[in-house]
Amino acid sequence: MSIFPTRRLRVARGPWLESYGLLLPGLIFLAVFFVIPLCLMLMLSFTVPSLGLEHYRTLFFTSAYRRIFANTFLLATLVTAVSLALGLPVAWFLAIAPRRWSQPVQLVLILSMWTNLLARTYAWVVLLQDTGPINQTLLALHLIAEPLPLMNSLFAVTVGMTYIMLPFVVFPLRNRIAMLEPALFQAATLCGASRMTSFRRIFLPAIATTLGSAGVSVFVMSLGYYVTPSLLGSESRMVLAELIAQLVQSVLDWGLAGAAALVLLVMTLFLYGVQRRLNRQPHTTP
Amino acid sequence: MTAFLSIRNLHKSYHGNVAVQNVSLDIRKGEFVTFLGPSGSGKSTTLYVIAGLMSPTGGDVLVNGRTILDVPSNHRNIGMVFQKYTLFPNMTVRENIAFPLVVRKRPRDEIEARTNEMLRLVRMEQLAGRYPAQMSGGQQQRVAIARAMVYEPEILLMDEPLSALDKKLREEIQGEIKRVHERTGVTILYVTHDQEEALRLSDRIILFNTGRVEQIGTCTDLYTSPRSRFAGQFLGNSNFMPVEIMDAAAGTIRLPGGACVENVRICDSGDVDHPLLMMRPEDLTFRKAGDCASSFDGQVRSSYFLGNVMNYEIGIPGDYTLTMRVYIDGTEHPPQTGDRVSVGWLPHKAIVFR
Repeated sequence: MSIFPTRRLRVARGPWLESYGLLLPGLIFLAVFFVIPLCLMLMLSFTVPSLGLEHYRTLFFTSAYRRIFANTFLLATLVTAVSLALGLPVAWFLAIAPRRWSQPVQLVLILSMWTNLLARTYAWVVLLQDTGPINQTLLALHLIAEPLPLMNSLFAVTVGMTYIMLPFVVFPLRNRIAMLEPALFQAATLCGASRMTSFRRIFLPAIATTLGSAGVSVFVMSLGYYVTPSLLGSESRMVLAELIAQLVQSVLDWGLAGAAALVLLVMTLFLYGVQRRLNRQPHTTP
Repeated sequence: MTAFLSIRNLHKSYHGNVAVQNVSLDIRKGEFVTFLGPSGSGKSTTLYVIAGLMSPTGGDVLVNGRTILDVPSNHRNIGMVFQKYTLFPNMTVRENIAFPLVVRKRPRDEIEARTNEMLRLVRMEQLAGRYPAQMSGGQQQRVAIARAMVYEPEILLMDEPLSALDKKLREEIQGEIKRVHERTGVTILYVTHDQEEALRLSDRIILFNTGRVEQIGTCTDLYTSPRSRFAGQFLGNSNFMPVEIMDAAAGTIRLPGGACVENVRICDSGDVDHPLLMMRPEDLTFRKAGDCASSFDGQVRSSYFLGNVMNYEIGIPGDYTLTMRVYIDGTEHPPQTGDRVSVGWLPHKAIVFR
């Protein structure tokens, strides 16, 4: 008997158990350890302390909370924009450069991905603090009179999070670009297209879906990010994840925390839906 | 005669490997010329240099007496069809064909008219709204031809455009390419490693071997008068046999068995160490035993049926094998595997390379 599949699984055919049976252990695990606790948490937002939509009214109509939503969106937008802007050239470089040039860059990216998240975030604290190398160098060069307030700012959080998100942009894009048929661009050139035209009319459309899905994943991950904003950010620019943590750990307001979590989840699912729709392009469906 | 397209002492090497050496060609306007040769013989490289997608390490490419090497490839006004499918996946057939004109910022009604004309030329009007992923390979290559012709280039380059297609489709599109050539009068340079394709399509064949031009000529020239062992071998599967030249002026040679034959063409080829007799499979015939000097006695090793012809492998003394191709008219009883036969050949059609 072969240990490899001998036929393609046709999900639509055969008895339900035969088609989906293999999924059951995983589904049960997910249900017990993820779906049920999550639902319980979300339920709390409607039931504690009393039945109703009170928590949602508080979230949407309190200016402090609305500012937190705004902060979260601004941060996610900034991180996504910067990640795409920096990631595309890197991915492009990795896809076209000779191995001896691309491999060191790739190694740096992978090593940093494997490094502990907290260590990577604290590394930015070391770099950005008032007595850190950046401020010290600028001071020594007499370019500034006082240390720049780099830490605990939107700048610090954006930099720290972009650094963490970059691989999620670079690797999918690198793969996509490397898969493109070189003759496509030679043909465009012979057709009379300049480099700029080829870039706009051929290259960008070819990588658009990958660019879009990378952007959405970075945006979604950024929306719920906790570690970097709490270590590098400022109290005045609190984001949604920090709010949830605070509500659960300090205030013990599980109902409001559940409401904030549900809002975050709904936004995420909505963006996922948008991305799915965008990916459905006529030329990819035969 | 002033040539329309001239290639002068073209040389191309990369990373120390010589891909093209000292290639010189003259091509007339409106000619259909095929670059034929095995893979790695420099034919594609020469085409890519003309297209401007590669720069040569030496030599020149002239159109109407003027060099085009300083013209960037997107301004050369040369059309090209590639071996790979290169239709832009995000554009429909119509948008693909219109692309070169859109890039050139032509007026909209001209783009419309020319695109329709090209759709008609390659008979793809019905599929104008399709995306490349919705079409077969043959259809895609036809659109690629239309896209390469829409801006009326003077030269159309084709780099093995049909090698990914099956035989029947290949022949159909060969006909299409012939038709495009006749209707538009464009000068076509066509790269292929398929001798049948070269013979079917071209006015002239340029035979490439190891980065050099081996021989230039019409299809008949190349087939009937190969000037080297390579040319004789590459076009048509030929039989080769070492011989001794007794009298070069009279064309007298001695065969391995000791028999002498006169009136054989002797050709200075430069790619053989020892004189070599070449006989085409279709120039061999069955004879009655011991007929004359120009025949071999042997035994049928294998035979296979090819429709109107039979292909035979005949083993002859000295451990040589002759391939012969014989028309079957149905009246005779064709020899079977194992039969003793006598094979005759025509000295005046054979060539000895030395």
